[in-house]
Amino acid sequence: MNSKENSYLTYIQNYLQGGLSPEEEAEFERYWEDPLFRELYQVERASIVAAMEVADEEFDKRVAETGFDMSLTEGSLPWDATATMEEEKAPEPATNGALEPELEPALAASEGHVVPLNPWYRRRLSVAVSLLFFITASVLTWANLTRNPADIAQVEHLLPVGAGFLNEVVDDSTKVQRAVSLLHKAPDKEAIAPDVLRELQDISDKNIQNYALAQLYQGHAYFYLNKFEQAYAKFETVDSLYESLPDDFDLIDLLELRWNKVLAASAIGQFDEVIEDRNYLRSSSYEEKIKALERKLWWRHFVFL
Amino acid sequence: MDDFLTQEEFRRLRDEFVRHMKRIWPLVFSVEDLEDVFQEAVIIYYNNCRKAGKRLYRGIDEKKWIFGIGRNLLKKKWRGLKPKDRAKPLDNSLNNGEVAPFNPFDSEDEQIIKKLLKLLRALPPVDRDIYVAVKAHKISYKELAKEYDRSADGLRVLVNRINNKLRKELGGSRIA
Repeated sequence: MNSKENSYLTYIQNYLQGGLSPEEEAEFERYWEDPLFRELYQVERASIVAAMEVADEEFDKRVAETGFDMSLTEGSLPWDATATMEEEKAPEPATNGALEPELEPALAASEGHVVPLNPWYRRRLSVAVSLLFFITASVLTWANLTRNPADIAQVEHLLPVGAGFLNEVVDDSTKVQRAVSLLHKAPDKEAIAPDVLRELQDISDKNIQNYALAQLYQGHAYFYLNKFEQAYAKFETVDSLYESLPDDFDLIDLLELRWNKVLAASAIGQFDEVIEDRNYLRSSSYEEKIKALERKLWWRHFVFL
Repeated sequence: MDDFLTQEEFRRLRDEFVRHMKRIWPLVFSVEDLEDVFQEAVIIYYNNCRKAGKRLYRGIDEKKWIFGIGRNLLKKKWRGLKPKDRAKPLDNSLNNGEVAPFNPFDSEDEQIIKKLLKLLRALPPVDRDIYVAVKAHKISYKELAKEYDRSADGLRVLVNRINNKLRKELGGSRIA
C-alpha cells in the first residue's frame, strides 16, 4: 500500500468516526474527485456496515439467550435521581412527597404542581422554537423580496438608455430583467460573465448601471457577484485592487457589489438612497469615498445580518 | 436502582453514537433522529435493568448492548421508510459536502457487503470480535486492551492487518 493510499485511509477512518476538524472535513470534497479515494471510501464504509451486520447477528443471539425484552420502550430515564450536573437536578415539588419520575409534566401541572420540563420535552420545545424562528425569518425575507415592484415602477422611466449587450436584448421597460433572465439561461455563464460585466460598465448613465446591477442582485445572480468577490480577494488592499483596474472601472460599483451581497433583496428598494450615496461620494476624493462607503455598507451589512 | 448510567455517560455515548451513525446514513437521518433513537435505546436498556432489579452490564458490554439496541431500532426505522426516501446511489457524489447514503439493498455496495460478511465470518472468533468491537461498537483500543489483556498497539496492528486482508481479498482490481 503506498503512502497516498495510507493517508487517504487514515483520513477516511477519521472522517467516518466524525473525528475531524471542520477545516479537515472541508477537504473531503477535494479528495472525492480522486477515484482511488472513492473506492477506498466505499470499501471502508462497507466494512463498517459489514462489521455492524456481524455485531447485530451476535446481538440477536444474545437477546434470545438472555431474554432481553426489546419491547420495553415506554417510560423515561431516571436523570432526576442520578443527574450529576447541577442544572439538571429537579427542584423539590411544592407539596410533600416526591413526584414519580414517570409522571408526565402535564399531569403534574393539572394537579397544581409546577415541575421543570424533562430533557425530552425541553428538546422538543427548543426544536419548536427554532422552527418558529425559521418560519418568521423566512416570511420576513419573502416580504423583503416581494416589496420591490413599486420601487421598480418609480425608476422605470430611466430605462430607455442602454449599451452593447443590453441594447441587443432589450427594447422596453423590462429590458434589464430580460437581460438578466437571458444571462441566467446562458449555457456557459463563465464565458459570458466578463462580457456582461464589461457591458454594464459601459452604460453611460450611472443610474441605469446602478439599476442593472440592482437587477442582478434581485435576480440572485450570485454567480457574477462571486466573480467579483474572487477578483477582490486576490488583492490585499483596496489600493492595490484599484491600481490594477482599468481607468474607467467604477470602483464604487465593485465595492457595492461586495458589500451589498447581503442586501441583494432590498437593493432596488434602496435605489434612491444608493443614488444619494453616490452623489455624496463623488464629491470627495476616492480614498474618502471608499472609506465612507465601506463604513456605511458595513453598518448596513451588520444591521441586516 | 440508583447506579444506572449517569447523565454525563449518557451524553458521551450518545454523541459517539450520533457521530458514527451520521456517516452511515448521512442524508436519511438527521442528528435529532439519531439522538431520539439513541434515547429510546437507552430507555429500553434501562427498563430491562429495572425489570432485573440491577444494572445488567458495565463497560464494554454495556456499550455493545446500547449500540446494538440503537442500531436495531435504526434499521427498523430505515426499513420503514419509503424506498425513494431511503437512499440515493453512492455515485450521486456530494451534496453540500455530504456523501449520498449507503444503501445495502440496492447497489453494488450490497455485493461488497456480502463478500465482506463472508470474509468476516471466516476469521478466527477472537479476531472477529476485536474487529467488530472497533468498527461497529467504536470501542477504543485502550478499552479493548484491558478486556483482552493485550497491548493497544498490538490490537491496532491486528485490526489494520484484517483491514488489509479484507481489501486484498475483495479484489485487487477494485483498489488501484
